[in-house]
Amino acid sequence: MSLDIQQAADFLGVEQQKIERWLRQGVIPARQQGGQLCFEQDQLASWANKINLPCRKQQKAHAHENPLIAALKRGGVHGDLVATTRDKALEAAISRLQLPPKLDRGQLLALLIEREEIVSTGTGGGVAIPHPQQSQVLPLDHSLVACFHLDQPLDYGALDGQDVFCLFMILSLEATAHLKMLSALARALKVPGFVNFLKTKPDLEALITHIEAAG
Amino acid sequence: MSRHEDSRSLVGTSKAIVALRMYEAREGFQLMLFGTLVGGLTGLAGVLLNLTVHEMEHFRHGISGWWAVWLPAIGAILGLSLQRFVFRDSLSHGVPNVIESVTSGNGILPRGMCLSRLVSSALTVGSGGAAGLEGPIVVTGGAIGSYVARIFNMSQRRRVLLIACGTSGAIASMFNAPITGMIFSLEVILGEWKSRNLVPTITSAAVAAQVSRLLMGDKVPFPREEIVHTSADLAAFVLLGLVAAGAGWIMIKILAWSEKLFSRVPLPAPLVAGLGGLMVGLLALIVPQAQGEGYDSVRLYINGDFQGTLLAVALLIGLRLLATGCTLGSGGSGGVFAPSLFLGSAVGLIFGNLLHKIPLLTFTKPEAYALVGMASVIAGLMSAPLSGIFIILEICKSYDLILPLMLACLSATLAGRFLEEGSVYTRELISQGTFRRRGSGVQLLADVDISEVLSPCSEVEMHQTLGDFVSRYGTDQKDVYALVDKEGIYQGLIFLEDVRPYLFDQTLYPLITMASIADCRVPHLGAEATPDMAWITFGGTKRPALPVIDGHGRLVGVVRKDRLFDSTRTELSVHEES
Repeated sequence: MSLDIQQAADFLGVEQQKIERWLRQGVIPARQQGGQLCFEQDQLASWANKINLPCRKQQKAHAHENPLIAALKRGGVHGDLVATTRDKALEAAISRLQLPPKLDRGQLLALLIEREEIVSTGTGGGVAIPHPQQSQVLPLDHSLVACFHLDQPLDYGALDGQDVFCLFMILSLEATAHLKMLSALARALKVPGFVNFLKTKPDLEALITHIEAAG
Repeated sequence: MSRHEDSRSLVGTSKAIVALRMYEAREGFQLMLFGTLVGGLTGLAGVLLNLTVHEMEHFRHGISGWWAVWLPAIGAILGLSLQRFVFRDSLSHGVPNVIESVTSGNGILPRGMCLSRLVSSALTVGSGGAAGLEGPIVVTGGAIGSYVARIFNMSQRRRVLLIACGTSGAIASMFNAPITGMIFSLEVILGEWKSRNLVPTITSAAVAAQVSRLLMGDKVPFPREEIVHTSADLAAFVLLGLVAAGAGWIMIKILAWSEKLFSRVPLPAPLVAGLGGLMVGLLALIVPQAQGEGYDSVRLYINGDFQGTLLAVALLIGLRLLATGCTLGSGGSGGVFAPSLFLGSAVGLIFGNLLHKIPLLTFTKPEAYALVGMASVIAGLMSAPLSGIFIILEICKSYDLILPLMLACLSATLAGRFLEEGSVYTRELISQGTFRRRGSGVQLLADVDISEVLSPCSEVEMHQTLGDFVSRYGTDQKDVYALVDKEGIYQGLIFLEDVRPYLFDQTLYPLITMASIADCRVPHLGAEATPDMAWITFGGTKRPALPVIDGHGRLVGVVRKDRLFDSTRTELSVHEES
């Protein structure tokens, strides 16, 4: 497959400037095709392997879309979650999610509970943010954030002692995404009025609009 | 005045410069002396091998009947047995080991190798085995050099140089080819052309060649008459280079296949070699020229004295390839040099004769092609155009064909590199992953101890929240921490660059556990790892540090990129100067 300079730079995981310098120095395999300089992907891969330069496809961050919103869209908003205890609520929540078949739901529940046992994710105001401690463990294809409105508030063991009525479950692919979404959510929760807004059991559209407005 | 300032004021003085120059001159002079010593010893070794093999050849020609069939087998069994059990040398391929010893920098070869290959190859080839003597004599020379270096307690750098002296003298003496000896050492064994390598290798080659000439006379192994060539020939010679490289490649494939075949025989090694020798003996019943080094045939071809048909030559190529496969594939002690010379001369002869069938164009005598064919096969196999050119130049006194030699060896080398990675000697090392180019950053790091680049790392327990972490390590200066579980088993690395965005948001302190922030996908290094492995591993990650984990899963320390950089930079500077 033919690549131009920019694509070659992306493929090798280096800046375009480096490619230009290597071309000038004559150390990188390239060819002229109708007056244009181009690279052969297979050749580059072989060359990079020989000199111990890793080929990495840069994960282009989709900067235009808020990762939290994207994850929320994938996780969805679920209402009327019926449960009497924290663990039962988590179990019920997991069963409502659309997850890849290879994901062991029992394992996920165990991970969520494990996290709760360290310090409760009920940070206050009646909202909890259950999540597994280490993201990479689960065979997920995409990160997701799911919002669950409980039918009845229950004793979650939250830090401020209040009963929890809303859960935001965060399941992410890797640590950076996880922390970004966690902090975005925490920030949104701090905005005055957001918690009260949550008490109205908003649907996905309304929730997204509100979060976007929060910035 | 601080010590640093003291030394700076010394550096510029002429006294200091002279002092360093005197040191270097003394070093150079000592190297010449040791070059002479090694040259003398390898000269004797070459003479010994030459005389022994040729005496055995005379002996062999006097034998007929069934004894003649069994002779190669007996020679192979005896040779390999002595090599393995008396001299304790059970490595299969000698020259790659010499190269590895040189490129790894330690320069130590087993003492027994000084004689083991000498004896075993004399017996194997002298009794009729279809192999060459260059591999064994090079190994012998290298081992002698290494042994001398160890007797005199020399540094690694000197040991490596003496190995190069040894190989240089070995070739110089064995083939009465001093220039080739030096060039072979630099091109194939050392792989680096620094001027300080020239002093000892030239000395050794000259002394060894002189010893050989004193004891055996200054004979040309392949005397011939001069030939004139045209410009049209030059194009044909380039083509010959390609064809010869292809032929050499086929020979190596046959040898590899034969080795695999013989390895399945469930007998002890010397007996397997004996089996190979028996097959050669049987072959020799039908075609006597299939035995031994094949130099008689070579002399015929390059002198234009060959009277037979091209078909006969082609047939002999096939039979000798078979014989060489039996000898070397079965583990017999020998090299590919003589088989390559035969192959090259035979292919060249056929090529040269076929050229004459092309109408309208005139080419020079086929003998010229036979000669250049020899050089081309060597050059292609060893990926060493200079060695190919010079060996033929010296053993055939063929300066009249210098231009064809240059062009054909070059095209053969390029064709060889296209067909296969690495030379016939380095291929094994490359596939093992142990081949390191001398002077490269990776090679230098292989010798550095891991402790020189290891940094300690504080351990953070998995269930600590961000808040706990900040209160405990808030005033710390480190940027890397290790995540461990309750038992202290390593889980991942925490890089402060990942933590920073959340450090100042207190609402997150109870929400984030350190396990969420840690990078558990950082590639590990084992406790036995060396800095060069760290260097290579850093190629697979952009993280600033790698963890070193012991056999129990605990963290020993981290290798930081910045410290590895400093270490490499220092080693490169130090070794460049030496």
